[in-house]
Amino acid sequence: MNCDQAKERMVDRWIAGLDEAQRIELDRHIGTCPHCREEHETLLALWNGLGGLPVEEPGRAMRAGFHRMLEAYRLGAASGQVARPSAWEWLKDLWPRQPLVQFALAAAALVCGVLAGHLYTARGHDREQIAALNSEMRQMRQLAALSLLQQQSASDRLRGVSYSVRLQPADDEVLAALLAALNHDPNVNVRLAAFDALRQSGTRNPVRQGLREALRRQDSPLVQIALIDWAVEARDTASAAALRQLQREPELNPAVSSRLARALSQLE
Amino acid sequence: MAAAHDDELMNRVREGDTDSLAHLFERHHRSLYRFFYQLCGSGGLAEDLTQEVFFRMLKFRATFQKDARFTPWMYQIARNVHVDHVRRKQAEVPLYQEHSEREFDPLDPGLGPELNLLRGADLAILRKALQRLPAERRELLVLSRWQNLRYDEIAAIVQCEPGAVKTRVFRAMRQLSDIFFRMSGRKAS
Repeated sequence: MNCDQAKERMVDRWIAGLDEAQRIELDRHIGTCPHCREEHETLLALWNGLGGLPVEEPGRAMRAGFHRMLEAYRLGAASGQVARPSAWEWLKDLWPRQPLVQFALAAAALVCGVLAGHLYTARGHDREQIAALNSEMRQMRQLAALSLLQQQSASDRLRGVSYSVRLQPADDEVLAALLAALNHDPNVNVRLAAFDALRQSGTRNPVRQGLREALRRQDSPLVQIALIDWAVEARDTASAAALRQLQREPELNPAVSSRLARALSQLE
Repeated sequence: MAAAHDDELMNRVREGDTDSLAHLFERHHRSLYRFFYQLCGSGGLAEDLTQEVFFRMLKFRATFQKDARFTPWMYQIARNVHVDHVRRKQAEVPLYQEHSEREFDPLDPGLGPELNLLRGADLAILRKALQRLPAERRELLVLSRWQNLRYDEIAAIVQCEPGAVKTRVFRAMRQLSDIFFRMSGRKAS
């Protein structure tokens, strides 16, 4: 056996296993070839190590998601066929799964019903009633956004951010929740979405202050770059101190570092 | 139905029996999830990509040939889903490529490459090293290490000769070893 054949046998040992004769032949070669022996020991340790890497199990929601997809496909929604779901199925698909959001929607429906009835009987107060209705709807949407932002699932939190975008101009409570998501959410996609939502309110002082603070807290290069770009676009000279502090970080990503240098030259 | 072979179930799906896809989902969603989890390192993303594979199986069921084997076909779809995902995220990739490879504290340089070398912190480094392998090589290692596939199945998925699989796996392991030891700050011997 030569060294090339020995390498093939090593892979056989990892993947398919060797029979007795092949094993003896390989062991004989690596017993006489120090280079192959060393490589064999190192790579076998790594191969075994790969097997020891922990793997999470998929969540239960995945099975539910699959069955929803299958149902939607059957109903023709995915293929664009003419088959249409029944009104009941359509309503069932619209109904959210989180109890808090269900409660918020039920409460919103109740408020809408009461207000609609009231409007019907007292047409003279149309404008006030519509304004009240809008206000109630806005509060319900805000409640839904805030509750979604607290959910365990990253995709739910992303939906919460998406809800909050529709609440422009956002009130202080929503902005605080978005800033908390930007600074503390473990998922970088949620942090980026929260940043995009906050950017729409970037002219407000508490938001500007929050974004400057976030520059000091972020460890994701993507979010850092987004914040740096915001500081330049908004010509926020007050961010310069935070940018300089970030520049002193010892293990700063090179892409962030070069973007920082450019930003500082534009702001100063 | 439960004992039906995967190929037979997929043929039924192709004929319009979408219930059979639920059986295939029960059999394969965990292995697909592990495939994506090891490729991407994120549970949430692995779930999304796994869902996408089953959606495409349904959407492109007509492309499953009557005499085809289900497992390679499924993993070819999975590869395409992963490639599409990487393309969508292309803007983020350079940031990770630019990371320094010496971002971990060096381990005890006195330790040698014995069989019991990989413990605790080493496994964390090994996972990072796996993520730094070029996508094609990482994919090949994931297929050969975790998916319990035969050489001919791996060859059908990555579209090469079965003999070439061995050479490619060996090269991938060698590169993984280089990255691992560079990141851990010690030499292989």
